[in-house]
Amino acid sequence: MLVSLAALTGCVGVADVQQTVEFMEHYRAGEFAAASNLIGGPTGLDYQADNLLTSLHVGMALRNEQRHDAAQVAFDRAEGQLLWKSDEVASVEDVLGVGLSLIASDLALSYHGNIYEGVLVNTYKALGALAAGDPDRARVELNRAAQRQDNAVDQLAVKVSALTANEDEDAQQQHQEEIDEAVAEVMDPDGPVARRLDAVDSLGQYQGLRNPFTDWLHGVFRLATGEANRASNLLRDAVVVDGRRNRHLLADFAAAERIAQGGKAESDRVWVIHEDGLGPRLDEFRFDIFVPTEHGLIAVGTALPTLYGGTPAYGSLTVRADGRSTETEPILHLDRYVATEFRAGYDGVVFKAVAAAVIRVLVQAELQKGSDSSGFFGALAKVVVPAAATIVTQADTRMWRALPHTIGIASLPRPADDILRIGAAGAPGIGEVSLPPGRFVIVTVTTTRPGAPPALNTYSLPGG
Amino acid sequence: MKIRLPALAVAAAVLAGCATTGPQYLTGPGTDRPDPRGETVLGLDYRDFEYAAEQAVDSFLSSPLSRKPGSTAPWVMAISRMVNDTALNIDTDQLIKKIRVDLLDSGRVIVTTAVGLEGPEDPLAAKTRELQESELFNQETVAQDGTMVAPELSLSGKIIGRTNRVGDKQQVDYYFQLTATNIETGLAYWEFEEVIAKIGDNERFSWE
Repeated sequence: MLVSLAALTGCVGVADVQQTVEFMEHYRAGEFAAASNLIGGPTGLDYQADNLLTSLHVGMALRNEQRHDAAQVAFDRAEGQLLWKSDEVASVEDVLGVGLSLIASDLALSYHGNIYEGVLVNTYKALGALAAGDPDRARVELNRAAQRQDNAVDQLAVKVSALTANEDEDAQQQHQEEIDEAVAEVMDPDGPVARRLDAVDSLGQYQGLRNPFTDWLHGVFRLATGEANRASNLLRDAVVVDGRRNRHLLADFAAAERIAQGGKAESDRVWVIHEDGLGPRLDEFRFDIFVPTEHGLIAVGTALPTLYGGTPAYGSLTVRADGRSTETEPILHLDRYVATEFRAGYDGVVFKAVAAAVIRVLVQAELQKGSDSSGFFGALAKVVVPAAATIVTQADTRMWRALPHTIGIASLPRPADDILRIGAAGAPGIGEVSLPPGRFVIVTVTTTRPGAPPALNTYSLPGG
Repeated sequence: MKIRLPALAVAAAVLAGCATTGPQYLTGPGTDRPDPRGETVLGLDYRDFEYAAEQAVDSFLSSPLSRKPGSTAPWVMAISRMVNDTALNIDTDQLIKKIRVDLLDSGRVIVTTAVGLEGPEDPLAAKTRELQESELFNQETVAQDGTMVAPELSLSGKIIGRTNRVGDKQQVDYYFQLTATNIETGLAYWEFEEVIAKIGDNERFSWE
């Protein structure tokens, strides 16, 4: 019972939301050490290890501080908590939460994560392994990311099914007519929810929830290790999803194809990855729905999450090497990637929020009448309605906020002097990078907002 | 602890005495050599490494080139790169050690620990040459220069994992690939591939 009451008050999610707000104040300013310290203290890891959202956030701050070992621990913890391969939940507490979730808020549950987050966790873990000089581990992480990508469509179907699952069947059937009416009203094509969905739709989608950046990274890894056939297949996948927009990707794909057909091996190369700006965010959208009762129409406030696009910092970088310059070009738009999964599950989220509001009003009305108050449903409502009146009308706006707005790439020959000079419009001196040894090197640059200190990392790929 | 979402359905199944089955072998140790435990995991466990190693050694020993041409002396083999191309964090020594033991027992191969891709596996053999300068040691017992034996064969390999959806199940295929290369000629004297395939429900990734 204690567990149930704790779940109903939603303290898990509310604490997550508050922590994210405080973390992002530092993160968006490029204060990565302060951001990781806020959550995990001096080690960066002194926090509740089973909190997925915390692990995702602190992992990003730590990698931008070049504390790669600690970042790997955080991302390992995150991967251990990620769901959505299947219809599993993490604990008994979650089962209770799910059982009550038509009435309680999703904020009462621990953060389950998203499918795209799983792909990105393994992608970042691959980069972290390269930073630690462990290409064998990087290969394992890239293989995991590839499996997650291959399974994304099936996982998404399971997720949508779970979001629309009818957990409080009795309560819902009892009030089905009122719920259907309210859902129809909320989903009116001219209504505010539809307008917000149009905005989400305008962000676009990635077919098959496939992330071309992860395929590209895996592809250039295989190119470096001399596996041109595999590289070619992966880069082809990225080209298809990217829509042939990115010239650097096309050049890498052409190189892989050429080598796979017996052409000359790739010359020494540098790949620049630019993680620019801050990714999309969820905000709460509050509105009233009107529920017919014996006492007439009763307005009840409810809330839904709404997805807003992220903000760029510079958009692209200029990379100068050997007297020549090239621009990074975006290969992954996080707005579009996140919107793909968000939109797929949104009907279920709307249904659940509306159904919860309708049931809450009707139960209150029944309680006032004094009928059915001795049954389980009445007893439950006596607990739920007064104690959780606020939390049930809060939308779950948790998400991995420390993601970039876009990820751009550049592919260029390794310069003879081993120096890259990196700038951007309005910020010519973002950094000068001295390349580490190796035939194939990756440089990552994170710019959260104009003027914020950038984070630069270098990684040697195998094959040198 | 992980509990499946339709907890009531699972509980009902348990109460009704329904047996649930875990991942099963399609090929490998659970098929032509039934394992008393029956079930397996979607990843790799000790039985898979033992099985793959035994198959590899049987294959090598049945090859005519497992005997050095014109000699009764064993081949001297160095261990080269073993690539783990799966989604599992595995130590490839789980496979290689078993192969080394069985090859040594066969009398046809001796593995050198003085030469390795990233340095000697046992650096002490080279390090002890430093004792040649020491007055503390009886020099007749100190290994002299020019006594180590260079490898003649190099063993390299790869473990590849591939996952495919089969209806509402997933099939995971593991390819164990090994090659022994004659170092003098660069020719592959022995090639080996064994596939261990497993099938199970699609609820977890193979590494979970």
